[in-house]
Amino acid sequence: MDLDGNSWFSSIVSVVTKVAEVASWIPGPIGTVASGVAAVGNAIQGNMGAALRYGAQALAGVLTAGIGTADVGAAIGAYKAVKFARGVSTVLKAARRSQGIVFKGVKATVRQSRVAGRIWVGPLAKKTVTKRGSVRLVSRNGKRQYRSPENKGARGWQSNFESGRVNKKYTNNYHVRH
Amino acid sequence: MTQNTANDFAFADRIAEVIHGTRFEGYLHVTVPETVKTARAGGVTYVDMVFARRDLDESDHWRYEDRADPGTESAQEELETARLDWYGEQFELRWLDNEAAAKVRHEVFHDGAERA
Repeated sequence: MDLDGNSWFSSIVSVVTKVAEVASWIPGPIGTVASGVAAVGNAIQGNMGAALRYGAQALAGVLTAGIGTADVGAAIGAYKAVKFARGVSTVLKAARRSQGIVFKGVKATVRQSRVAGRIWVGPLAKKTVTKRGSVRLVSRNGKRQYRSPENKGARGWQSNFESGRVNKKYTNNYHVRH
Repeated sequence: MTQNTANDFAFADRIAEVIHGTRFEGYLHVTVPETVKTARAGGVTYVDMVFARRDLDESDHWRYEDRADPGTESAQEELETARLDWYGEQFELRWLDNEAAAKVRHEVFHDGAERA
């Protein structure tokens, strides 16, 4: 699995998910929490079948323990986390597959774009902030760039996921809509 | 601390017609955004370009594409030679004079609202 082309992120998610999957068999609250983590981890990797299975397992754990306000809150939180992670995963996969300029890409929230952007460029990215407030991140090796959501007039709010730098310019430019 | 880099780049805020062979394809607007230099953010100069292309499928018949590469080198070379390599497509540029550029800036680029 190489979700976004940054092996460091893929490796971390993969290891955490596998550990959580094993821990999900532990009875009680530890297993329930681990199931939730496994659900989110699988969602990030695009394994939606496994994400739903572990999500249901987490919910069952909550229900078995007895429904309280905190439990319902935890279940809703887990659902939102899975949904958020799925959006981040969708953005990264679409950006990675894109070739050339794609000016109408998938829709995502601003927060999903920002998280996906950080993953897209990896650690130690170089940051530039424009006076308008938009942030531009260039990966350490210079091969990827992320431009944060900005109002682009007739196109509305968009963010950019760029890759494939040749002759000091990016050859792929994927626009995420907000 | 604000870094004003627009004055250092000869093509900042200029507009060109974009031509493919003999066919008019649209307009290119070049800008250099001001950047804020902080302890965590360096002051890399960007050359932003917005290409307004004729497209009858779009509501106002313009499709806006953008490009923003860190550093000025690649853009400088293309703009100086008036030959644009737009994600693999090759075009010629014909720079507009101030009067024509002002009209296009207002009518097509909505006074700078169409940005990269």
